[in-house]
Amino acid sequence: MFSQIFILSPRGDTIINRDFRSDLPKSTPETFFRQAKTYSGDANPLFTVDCIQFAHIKRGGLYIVGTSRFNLQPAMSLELLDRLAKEIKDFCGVINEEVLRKNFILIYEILDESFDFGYPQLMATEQIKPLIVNDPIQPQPDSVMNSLRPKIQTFNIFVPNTIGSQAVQRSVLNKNQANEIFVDIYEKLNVLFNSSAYVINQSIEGCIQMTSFLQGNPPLKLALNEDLQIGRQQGQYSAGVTLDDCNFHECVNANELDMNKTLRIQPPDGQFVVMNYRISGDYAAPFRLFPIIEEVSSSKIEVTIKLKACFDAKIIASYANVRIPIPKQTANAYPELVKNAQLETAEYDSNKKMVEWQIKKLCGGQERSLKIKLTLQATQTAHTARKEIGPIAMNFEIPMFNVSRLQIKYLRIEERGNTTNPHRWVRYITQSSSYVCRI
Amino acid sequence: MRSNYATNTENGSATKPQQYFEGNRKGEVNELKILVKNTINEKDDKKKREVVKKVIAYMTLGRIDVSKLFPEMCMASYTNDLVQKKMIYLYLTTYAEQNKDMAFMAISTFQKDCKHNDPKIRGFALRNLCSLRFSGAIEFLMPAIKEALSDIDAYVRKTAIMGCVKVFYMQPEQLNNIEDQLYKMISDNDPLVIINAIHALNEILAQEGGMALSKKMVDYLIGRLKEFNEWGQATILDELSKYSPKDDKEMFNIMNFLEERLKHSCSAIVLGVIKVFMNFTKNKPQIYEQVITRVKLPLVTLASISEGNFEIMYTILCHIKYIASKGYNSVFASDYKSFYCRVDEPTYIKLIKLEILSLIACDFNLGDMLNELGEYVTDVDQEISKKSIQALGSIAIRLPDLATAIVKQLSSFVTLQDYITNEVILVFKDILRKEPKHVKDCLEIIQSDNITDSNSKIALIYILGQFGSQIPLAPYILETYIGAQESVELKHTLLTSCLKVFFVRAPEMHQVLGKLFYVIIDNENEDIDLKDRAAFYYRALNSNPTEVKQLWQYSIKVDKFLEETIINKEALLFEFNSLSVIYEKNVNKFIKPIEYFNNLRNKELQDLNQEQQQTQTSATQEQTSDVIDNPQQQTYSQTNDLLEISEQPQSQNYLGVDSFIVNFTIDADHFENMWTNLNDGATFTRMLVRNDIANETTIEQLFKQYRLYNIAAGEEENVLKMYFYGSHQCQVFFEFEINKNLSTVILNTRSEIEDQAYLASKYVEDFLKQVHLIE
Repeated sequence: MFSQIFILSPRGDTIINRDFRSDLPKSTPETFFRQAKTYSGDANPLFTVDCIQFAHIKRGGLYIVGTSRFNLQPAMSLELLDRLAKEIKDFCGVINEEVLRKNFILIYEILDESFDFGYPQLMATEQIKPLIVNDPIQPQPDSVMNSLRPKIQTFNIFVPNTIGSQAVQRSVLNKNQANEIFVDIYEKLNVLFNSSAYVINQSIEGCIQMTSFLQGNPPLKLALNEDLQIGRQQGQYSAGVTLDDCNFHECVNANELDMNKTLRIQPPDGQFVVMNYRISGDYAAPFRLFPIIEEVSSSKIEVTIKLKACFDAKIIASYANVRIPIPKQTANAYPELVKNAQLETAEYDSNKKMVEWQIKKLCGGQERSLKIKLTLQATQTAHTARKEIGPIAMNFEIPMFNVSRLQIKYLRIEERGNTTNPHRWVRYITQSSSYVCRI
Repeated sequence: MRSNYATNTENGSATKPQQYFEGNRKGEVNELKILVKNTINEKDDKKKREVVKKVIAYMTLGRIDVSKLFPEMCMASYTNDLVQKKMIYLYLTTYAEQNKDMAFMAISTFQKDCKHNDPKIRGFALRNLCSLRFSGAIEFLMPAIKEALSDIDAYVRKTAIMGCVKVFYMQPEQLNNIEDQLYKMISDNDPLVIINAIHALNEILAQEGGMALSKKMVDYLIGRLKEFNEWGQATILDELSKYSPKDDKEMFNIMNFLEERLKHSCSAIVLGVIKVFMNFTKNKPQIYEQVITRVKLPLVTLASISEGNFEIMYTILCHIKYIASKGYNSVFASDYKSFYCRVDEPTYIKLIKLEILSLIACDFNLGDMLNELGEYVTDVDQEISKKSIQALGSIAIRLPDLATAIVKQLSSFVTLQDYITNEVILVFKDILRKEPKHVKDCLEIIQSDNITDSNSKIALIYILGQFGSQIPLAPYILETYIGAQESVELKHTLLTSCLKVFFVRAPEMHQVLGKLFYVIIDNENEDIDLKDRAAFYYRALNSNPTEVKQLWQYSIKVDKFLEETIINKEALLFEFNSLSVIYEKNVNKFIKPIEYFNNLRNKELQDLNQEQQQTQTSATQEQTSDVIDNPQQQTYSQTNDLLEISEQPQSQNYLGVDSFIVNFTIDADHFENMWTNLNDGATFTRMLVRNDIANETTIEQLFKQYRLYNIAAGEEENVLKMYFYGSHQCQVFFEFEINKNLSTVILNTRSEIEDQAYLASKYVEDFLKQVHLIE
């Protein structure tokens, strides 16, 4: 099992360093960081240097690393580190460098309860909670360090920028906690259009995520659509919601799912994913892109992109960003928005050879367009350069909307005692995972 | 002079200067020591907590030796405040090994807490007592563990079991047949106690192959499986995979029971179940295949949705690739779209997906897949682009009937970027080795000017030589490489290829070959081996060309590449759900016995001691009061020290002040340009020790002494930022930041050569230490 667990900042500084077994060199954090930097992109999650095994995950720009001299179970070691990250998130509210530096004593406490001699011990937030004596320290919102440090991109893709997400970014140790539970239905869309706007590949990856601040962890009953069907048979068509496959968290009893579409849940504290699901069938894509490329002359190209929001007018996408890669031999590019465009920007990044078109708010049914005028360097002709335009990638988030129509019919607390009825917040969020249009 | 005096004593005796240095070094730790001492009697727990926290902060940063505070921290451990106690115990367990004499002081507190009324404190104290890594603790340990093993509270019991493992690594004979008791504890009520007992038995009995598994035990563990948390279940599943059921009935019973666990969202459990299934059925090919078909769905689901957890996704993909490469690729063929790359995925995911795609390609998915792979070829990430070309190549080799379409597609990439053409030609070489008939499709690409990479040129020359009769331009392309500045390897291939073409197209090649012989043999500086070969061929051709020609006529068709067969054979030995599958290496290639690591640790300790001695020597050569000493003189006196030289041979991994160019200058534009374009090479964060000298002028002067020059500086809200540069083998650039609020010093170093940035960063760190600006 793990010999050491350490957490490094994006620059490679040690923030947390716990040696459980004292059977490996002390210089492993440096060894790790040096090796991780040899990869051109992100480092492989598992690698070996000098017969020392390194398993790591990256969260909030930080490296959470476990080392070992044994032939680890790879999935288990990474799941353990992921669980540790979630514990830290549950106790500190968020996970980033500043919070970790401020709360390092608390994190040592969590580590000591979670692991003994490198073996996993108590790892559920509600089990550790009574053993923790330190209180979390919240970061000051506008400290000097924050403004000086470069903004670190987070890799947790299920953190939406929606208003209200602040509510779940708090510690389970908070004494004045409201008795409430947040339920999010996230769907990540994966759509691939070819140049004639025809869908080549599409799928939905979704999950039901809960963040529980319920007192006493009462058992819950969650009901889903009545027309829900799991498992897709070849050639069979169903009008209801059909999931290709799904899986469940340890705390979920899915025995009644086939019968009456309900899940019984024994909720732990903090954040957990009740259920993951995957849908590969056809669905109406919420956005359509229509690119038109014109060779104006041998050195000039005009790219026109139309974007259409194909969903109900009552629904508003909180943002929609479109990235258009343009030829490397471009001398200059002028993105032009339509006149009177509001809440829209378009910029050309000459280093990345990319035009970024950002739309702040987009109501269902609306259409927007952008024209890019390209001038090429003399070395390349428009005819060969046009091959290098695209693929166009889109990023968006649509709150209170889901494509699969999977719904939560009700969420009940099974044995309600004398306590007041807890608040239940249900949100639907649709995001892009890989939304690409090829040219 | 004081510094000279110190050097002399160093030569004279080994022990005397040690004390002297210690006195000198203590100055920095003393402050903290006094602080701790004064707060022991403090009544306010909040203040005490802050002080202890400060010590732990220093401990975490490393490099700072706070082990000298051990007696004070022992004293402080007599507290009732649990917050402090936890921190102090963390400190004590970290440094007990280095402070064996003093550690006894702490033991009594631990012992007292082991008998506390609160089981949480009992467990917590025992855990820390067992982590005191020094042999003297053993005699106190075993009685405490024995008592705790039968404690009424499960938290204490599970901690005691882990204690046994800790003792096992210190003095195994002390355990005294604890195994029987551990086996009994597997029937404990508490799941965590059971799991820890299994772990303990596996470590203690590692030599005998771990815990013994009877049918009764298996039935018992399976019956209680759902009581365990995810990690417990994964552990039990791993145990089960070692078990062999007595008959088919038992096997199917277990498998039917476990099947429902495949719906779990925890990948460790799903892989654990699959491993059990695979091991149970490995000698029953038909059922084995059914198992693979059954586990496909959960694997594909985990590989596409892992809550945005790319690391887990990667592990699953590695296992899918492993199953596919063992001959079950057709199982995944219909799910090919699940393995398409997505824009938001990191490179390591995309690369493994491409490998899977190339394995599962077959007649019905190839059309779609070719389009998809073709798109990746123009990806902005060159690694992805190259890998997709390789994937296309390996599909063409594996499916010769479908190769024509792939070869046509590959040759269409000829007009694209250099690196694409370079990769395509490499792939072509392999395809042609197996299927020479495709040579007509590569006529266009071999004329490309884009072949720039050395290996690709070699591949091109090989193709020209091998298929010279079918490539009209072959002699003329070969001719362009004669006399060019190229590697010896390339010239060897060129020689071979020219000869091959000569035998089929003598009239055209006659002149070219003659020129080649001349260029090689007449060049004084040419590789001797190459010269010999050329001369040998020349003489042989002169004496009897027909016989030489016969020697060169042989069949080149490859049925199966040697690499393919070897990889497959080795793959059979990999253990499922282990690191072997991830690294694609046999376990003995990356796992070493504990002695190997003990050696590593000892070596590290020696290096550390040497380094400490070195810094101590240099510390004496400088009085703390004069911040800016003369560095030249200092390095001089260091090299004069004979003892130092004999102990530490001059290594290249060290930069001295003489490595840097004096009064080197660059302009601000150049600096800014370099700084923005270079990546972070090396960086460190240290605690600021001397606030008094942390101002702009002193720092600038200090760096100047060390031949690093200031180009910009500024201070805002107690944060001082300065930029420096210098030049030795290459130019190095620094961003230096002192944050007085947080008492930290951060240095960012960038250089065109990353190793140099690292060395330069060490160099700055060393001189900052010497003036005691940082610890």
